Amino acid sequence: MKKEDTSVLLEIFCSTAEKQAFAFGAECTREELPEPAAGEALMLSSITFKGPYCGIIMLAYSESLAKAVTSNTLGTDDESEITFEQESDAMAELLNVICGQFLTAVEGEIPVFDLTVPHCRRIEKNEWESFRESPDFLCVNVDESPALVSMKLIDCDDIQS
Amino acid sequence: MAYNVLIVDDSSTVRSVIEKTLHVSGVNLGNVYLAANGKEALELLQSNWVDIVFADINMPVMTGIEMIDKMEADGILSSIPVVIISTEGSSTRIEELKKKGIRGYIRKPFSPEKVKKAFLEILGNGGEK
Repeated sequence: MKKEDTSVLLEIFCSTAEKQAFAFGAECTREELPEPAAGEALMLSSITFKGPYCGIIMLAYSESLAKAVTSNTLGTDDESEITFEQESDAMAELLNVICGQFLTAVEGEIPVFDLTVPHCRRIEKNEWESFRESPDFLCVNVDESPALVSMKLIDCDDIQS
Repeated sequence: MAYNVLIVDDSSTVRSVIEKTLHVSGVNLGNVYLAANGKEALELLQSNWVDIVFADINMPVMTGIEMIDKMEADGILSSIPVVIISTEGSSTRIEELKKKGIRGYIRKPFSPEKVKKAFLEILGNGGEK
């Protein structure tokens, strides 16, 4: 990912989280990234895009962030009633919008990109740590919850629709 | 007169948000039908009259574009206005959709005001309570 794309991805992530879920994020260093709470579930959402070139955007996050995003998006007060399915769906939709906005910001409005349906899965702490240490991932503090976001180009043949 | 709405999106979050937006916006709302893809939407349309459809484009099973093509081919369904709510940002694709006869396009993330505005512009002042 080019340095300027990194800035765009960060800006799009933060602005979309704010507009869609009233969640306020800011880039931080790996050392400043909030630690997930002990025992808290960690998740990874990913979406691929196919067009003049192909790529994947990944978002790793803690369950506390997922609950806050879901609660804010749906306008509910009681986070305890939010299910894992609702969290996955809300975060998938957030990633969907981030991807669309990012591609327009980087490539303009002429190229056509097809986006896949986002995938969500739980990840283990060691996988979270590998993402956190990877230079491919940006660290973002979202209302004191951690998030890791990356975009990388991939071979179009590797994308399953 | 209350207007029936069909909301088509594979995201339950988006369906809930659009439905809630319509309920609190003061529009004259009748029945609200929800579908997770174009195929479910067409099945609902077979047995329920709908005055306006809000639909996403990228959905599994049947996309919004495929759904619009099927509606256009049907003598009765072709008269129902469709508003697309999507992450799509390509002007090329949006122009293609307009040529297919969509009545409005709202880009995500969307504000409640845009949904209400589209509803009222298409259904007229009778759409407001």
